[in-house]
Amino acid sequence: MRAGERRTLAGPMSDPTFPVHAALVPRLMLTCGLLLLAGCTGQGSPATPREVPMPAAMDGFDPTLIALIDEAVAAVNQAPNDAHAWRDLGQLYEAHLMLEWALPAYTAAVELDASDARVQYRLALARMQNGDLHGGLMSLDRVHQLEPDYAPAWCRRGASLLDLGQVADARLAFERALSMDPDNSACTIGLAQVALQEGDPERALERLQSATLMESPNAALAHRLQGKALFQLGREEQAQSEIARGQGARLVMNDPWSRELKVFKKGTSALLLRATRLMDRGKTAKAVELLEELFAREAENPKVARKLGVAHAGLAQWPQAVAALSVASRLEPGDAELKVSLAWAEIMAGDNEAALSTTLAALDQNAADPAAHEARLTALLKLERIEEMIAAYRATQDSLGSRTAAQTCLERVRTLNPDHPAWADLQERIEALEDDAPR
Amino acid sequence: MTRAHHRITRPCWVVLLWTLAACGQGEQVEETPTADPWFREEGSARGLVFEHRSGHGEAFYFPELMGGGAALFDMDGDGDLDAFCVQSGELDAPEAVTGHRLFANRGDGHFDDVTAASGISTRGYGMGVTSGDYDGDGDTDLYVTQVGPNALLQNLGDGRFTEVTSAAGVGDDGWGTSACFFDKDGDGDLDLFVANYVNWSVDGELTCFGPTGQPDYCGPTSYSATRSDVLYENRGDGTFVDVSESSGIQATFGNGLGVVAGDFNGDDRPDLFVANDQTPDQLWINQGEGRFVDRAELAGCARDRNGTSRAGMGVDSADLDANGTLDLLVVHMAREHDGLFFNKGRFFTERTVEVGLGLATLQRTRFGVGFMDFNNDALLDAYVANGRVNLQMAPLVEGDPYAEPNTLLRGLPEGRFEDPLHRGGCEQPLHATSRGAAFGDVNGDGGVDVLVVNRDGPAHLFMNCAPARGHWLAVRAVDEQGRDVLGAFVTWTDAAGRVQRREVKSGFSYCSASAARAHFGLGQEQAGSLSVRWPGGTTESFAVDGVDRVILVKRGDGES
Repeated sequence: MRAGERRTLAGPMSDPTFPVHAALVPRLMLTCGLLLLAGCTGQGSPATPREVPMPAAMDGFDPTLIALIDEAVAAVNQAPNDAHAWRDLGQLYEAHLMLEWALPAYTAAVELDASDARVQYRLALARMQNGDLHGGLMSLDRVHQLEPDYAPAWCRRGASLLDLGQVADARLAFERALSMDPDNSACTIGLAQVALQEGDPERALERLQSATLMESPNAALAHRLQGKALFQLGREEQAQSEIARGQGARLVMNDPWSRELKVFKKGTSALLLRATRLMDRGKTAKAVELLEELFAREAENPKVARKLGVAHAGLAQWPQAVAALSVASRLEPGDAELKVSLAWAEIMAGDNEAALSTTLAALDQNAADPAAHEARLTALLKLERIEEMIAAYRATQDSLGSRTAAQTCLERVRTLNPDHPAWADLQERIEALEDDAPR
Repeated sequence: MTRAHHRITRPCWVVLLWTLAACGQGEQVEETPTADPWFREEGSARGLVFEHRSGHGEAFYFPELMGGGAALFDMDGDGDLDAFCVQSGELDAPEAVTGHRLFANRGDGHFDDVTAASGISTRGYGMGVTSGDYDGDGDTDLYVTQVGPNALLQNLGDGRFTEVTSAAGVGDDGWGTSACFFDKDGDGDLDLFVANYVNWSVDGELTCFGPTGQPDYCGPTSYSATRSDVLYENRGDGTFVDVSESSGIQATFGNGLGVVAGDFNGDDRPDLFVANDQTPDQLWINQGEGRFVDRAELAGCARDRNGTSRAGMGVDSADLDANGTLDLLVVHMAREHDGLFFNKGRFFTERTVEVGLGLATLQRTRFGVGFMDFNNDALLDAYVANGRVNLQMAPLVEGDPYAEPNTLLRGLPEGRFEDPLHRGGCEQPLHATSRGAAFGDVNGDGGVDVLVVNRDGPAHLFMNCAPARGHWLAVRAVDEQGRDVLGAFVTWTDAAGRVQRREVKSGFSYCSASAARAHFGLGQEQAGSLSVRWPGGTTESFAVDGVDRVILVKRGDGES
């Protein structure tokens, strides 16, 4: 069944695997009654006009976002019984994390058209994010009725039930999701989490070791959870290894309906956020594309320039990175960290003289930043100015207040330039320097 | 930039049934007219007048958002709790400010500002405070964390304090937040752990925007500048040595905001739990011989179930499920569940939402926190001091877009909780941007009171007026020299065989220090037995001649 088609309420309610919490039944019946009422009246016309949710003040908001909100609000005012207009308004708010305004917009949308599974889904997620798990589960009930085969909705249900400690019901929900989408790694992880919560790490391990999971975007999280399970089983060495493999792990929910939300992310900050997420997922070229477009529109926004520089750097496009970071640094002259990023880009672009000058400016602002010292030492090494490098190393020791910290900096420089011809001579001289220094 | 916002009017479904069906929309401030308040705010009425200043001007300097803290401690050994409030001040000129305030308790829960007479004139941008008798002279000293060098204030015992930071060697110059004294090596003197937040400077401040593009405070990860925490070992002669590196606690670090010490693995050695903001939390397990190893990832208390590092702020520990181990609560920011980790011996299981702690607080940004039995019904309640850190949500009141009411959660059997009043236990919700919260019975009536410091607002002293409070017992555990023994584990077993365990500690919550006493609510029971497990592993039983009082138990005087 596709979204938008209308269903009876009988289906999932009579399904034994449909986990309805007893305490929710009266509220669920009530909601169903209201939804039926709304459904019977088609586009519905409430007795009182709905108030359109809108922030009372938008001082400082991104102008693009203000324009979009004005436009979406105008659409709702123009057609107050159009469920789609309310849904679009809700999605615009949700895309910008404005849940308090998204919730009433979604609520209005489902009252006007109870058959739209996707808006019910958005309402469910917004309610859950806002702390209303029970309300969210009720909205999910409706999603299951309308689109029983949408696996991510069952997966979300499982996660919420697990939060509530309804472990057996959570297992049923995850199993149901997997019956529809056996390769869904997020739901497989959900089942493993159920096993861990039930004190059964062996079963959790079985779930997590499936080959499918190992190739999924949730592989790192699977490793981390394996580490937890192994530790609970007393297999500490293996646990350590799995935890190490799980660095950077975060649950990635394969949820096509939620991806639709990005269409609504049009404000600068939202686009920056989207670019960050693209980069996190390794889609840096797409992020660059997005940021170039943004930069063309907002060339004087330091955040945009900075992000663009970082994205270019991610693609090893060093001259472009230098250009963008130079703009950002000009706009944020007090940002020493930004200068360090610029210096590294300059080094990578082969402009070590410029890097030297940039690191000096960075160190003027924050002499205790090891990264600035590393950049300076690297630039000097690349320029083969060994005497200056030794002097800079001394300065690093002084600024960081510790020989160990300076040595760590130098070690990083060596890691980055292991085969530089000047390195052997330099190392010898620095060691001699260390030997002569008072301990 | 003007920050005056108006709360929008949300759709109001006047029919009750419709209200039920539409639950979850925005703020749900339900009033329960029949419920009696548990707290009355009486700060200024009792002479505890303190106005915190963040120094916020045009720029959004990150530290403005995070201070300050408070201590409730017995300054002069007269048995009542005195108070210390940490001032922040001016980031552009931190040395110009000497705003910390000391208040002496007259004995009845009324206070006199004795700052001038105390000689406390510490300069700097203050964040928090912890308390402990570091020099073993029988009176409680204070360690103040700041953005910049921290300060150790030695209690001279006559109402005066002297700053001994340099001489003692504890002037770490990072952005210190929460700290705690604890005896890491069982040598009888107190060592010191200091959590550091972010490597930050005025010159290096960044420009940040919220999701709507509004200029706003940055979050800690904007800076990518975590700074390692600090562990000082007490040499026993009034000076400390920095053992951060040799102890292993520099092996991992994050954006530290909260810390609590406790024996989390039952080996009679004190461990540490550090709450980090958007970086993994740490559980430093004491290996003995001065070494610590972070086991948080393995033990399952470093992140949430899905691998996310949440915004760890305040932290407390308590044996909620009466299984003899210390459980952990880490509080987080809005739209992130708190982390309530039940200790299973070798590892932790998170059950935050299940026990009723997750949803009641989800719309708040939580800082100060403490498990206390406020109504003395033999069940631990939880108090949480709230205040936002960004402009993402609609303001609740005019004038302070970060202000929120605090939260009181009533303890139920089996470690469960419910929000009894939806207004922080008060008759009317008090909105403020709350940060540090310190706990202790300031008027000696057996009810635990709460001192809360609010950003750019007056401190609140919440006096406990919980209805139908039960009997109580407060235990001060001291060593042979009469010094408070932080880390002592006190067990009360009532006549019906019900067991309660409390750890004696002062450093927990957020940037704050609480009374180093084990407080037990007894319900209607008045008979029971008391035992103390001292750090190191010896256990002694003590006779209890009566309840509704503070009793002193001295190591060596009990029955082994």
